[in-house]
Amino acid sequence: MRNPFRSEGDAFRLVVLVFVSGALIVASAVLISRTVALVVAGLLLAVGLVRTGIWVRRSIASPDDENH
Amino acid sequence: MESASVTLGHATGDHHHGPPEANKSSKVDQTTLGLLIFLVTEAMLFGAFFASYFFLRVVVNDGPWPPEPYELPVMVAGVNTAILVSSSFTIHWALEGIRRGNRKAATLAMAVTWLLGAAFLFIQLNEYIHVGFSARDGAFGSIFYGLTGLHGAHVIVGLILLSIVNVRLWRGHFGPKAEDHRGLELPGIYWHFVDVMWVIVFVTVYIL
Repeated sequence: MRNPFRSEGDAFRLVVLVFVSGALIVASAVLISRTVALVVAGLLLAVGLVRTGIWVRRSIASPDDENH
Repeated sequence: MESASVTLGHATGDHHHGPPEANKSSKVDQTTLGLLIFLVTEAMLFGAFFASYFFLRVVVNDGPWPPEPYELPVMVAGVNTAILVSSSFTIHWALEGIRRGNRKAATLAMAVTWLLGAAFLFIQLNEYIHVGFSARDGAFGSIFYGLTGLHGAHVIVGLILLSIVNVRLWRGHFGPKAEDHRGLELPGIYWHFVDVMWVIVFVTVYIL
């Protein structure tokens, strides 16, 4: 995983990822219920935080090599 | 001996004046690093507003949210979200165009990006006029206008940056090399950040 704001291309990929995640939440709210959408949002947030945490730990462990 | 060392000092001193060069990161160039640090502060600012929003909604509020009789125009905001996300695609198209030496495509894509951003702002202002409550109407009104207004302010800044990029493109600036289109790439990163923040604001305020 790379820093998503290191380049425009990476930032664009983040926009697409966040938009797809948002669409999932909206679909859950519209098709099922707002409670399910809240659960989906919580799960997506947790996945995002875990992945960010792993990336930060790896970046600190090897500052000169980001492409793990 | 003394004169020899003085001569040597003068000889090396002629090559470099002023303080030594700053230590550079091997990961990211200095200008991008400056933007990254700025975006970190921006994320914290949005974080403070989101914290206020959830505090008011979950801790303080004990009725329905939004409070009756207020109703948010979810459909209009959804269309506005699609408009803003589309502008991320067009700014990416602009950068790809300049990377491949296609100035015409880059100029067109950047103009479309500006128009989409302006359309988003216009629709949001129109929403403020017709939404039926103001920032003075309780905690809900305050945080709604605070959060969406904070984002709107970022869109205004983004539009100013995009205006500068548009003028520079018309004047023939930027080239395919990375160092020749930094002035387009950095506003692009900022614009993507603004888009990401809007998707989060939209989902939080209008959907959940």
